[in-house]
Amino acid sequence: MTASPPAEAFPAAQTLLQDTILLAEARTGADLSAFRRAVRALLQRGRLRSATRTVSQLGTADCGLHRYIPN
Amino acid sequence: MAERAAAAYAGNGKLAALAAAGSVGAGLADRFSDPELDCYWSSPPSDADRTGPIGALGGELTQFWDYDEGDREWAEDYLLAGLGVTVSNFTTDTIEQFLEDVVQRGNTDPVKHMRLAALQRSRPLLGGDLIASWRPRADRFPGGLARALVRQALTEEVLTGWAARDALAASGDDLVARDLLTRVGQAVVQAILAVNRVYPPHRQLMAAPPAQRADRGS
Repeated sequence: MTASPPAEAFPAAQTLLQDTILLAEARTGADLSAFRRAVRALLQRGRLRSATRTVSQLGTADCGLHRYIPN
Repeated sequence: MAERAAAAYAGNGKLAALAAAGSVGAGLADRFSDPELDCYWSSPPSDADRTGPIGALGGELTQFWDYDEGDREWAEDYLLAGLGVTVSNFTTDTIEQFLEDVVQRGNTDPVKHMRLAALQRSRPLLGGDLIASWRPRADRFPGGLARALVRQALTEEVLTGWAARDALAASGDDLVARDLLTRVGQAVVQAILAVNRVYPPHRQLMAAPPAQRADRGS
């Protein structure tokens, strides 16, 4: 994760974080639901931002998708 | 060198135990390792208690710190045959208190955890029975402590700045991107150590308790 370029490292870090949450909850019984929700929300926002760039790059911002993408 | 040091300390009846600590004590020494000694005293050591063995060994004292209330420790450094030696001093009462705080009360203070890690990973040179009596107590890493440490490691603070990760990667802002990745890496290591009931041996591997975070203004 730390040796890869950031563009590749971020998805690996996200997976690692999600796996760690599941492991820690299963093995210690800790309630990490708030953190789990925060991670999930961030990942969903990341997907929306990626979609914004793709639409913009294609020059099809007026295709209607932008209505579903929060500012 | 450790045996020579043990001989220099052996005559002091106040010394309850002595251990080779750090990477040397853990059997992980490499060419970057300097010797570390942990002294456990039955009562607070005087300056002479601390400097006497260094003089007897022919060492050159380079640092001499007063008692640190936060770390509950006296420390000194000296040079011996070109090697930098670090000495940490604690009273046995302090160790008893740390054991009780962490194992009985689930205290998450990094200073105390680092000390218990040192007890588990060091190589006794004197007072081996005392250190052997502490170890099984330290090994009783309670489940409540593991839960508290996991919660401390995996907080929303870890995610600060993550919303901008794609932009950082795309714009080549590697310094900030690496900071985000390092923060996640540290949080994961802290959580995994807690899951495995392992006291972190380094301060860098520890999640700061909430009070310390507030002190840092983060």
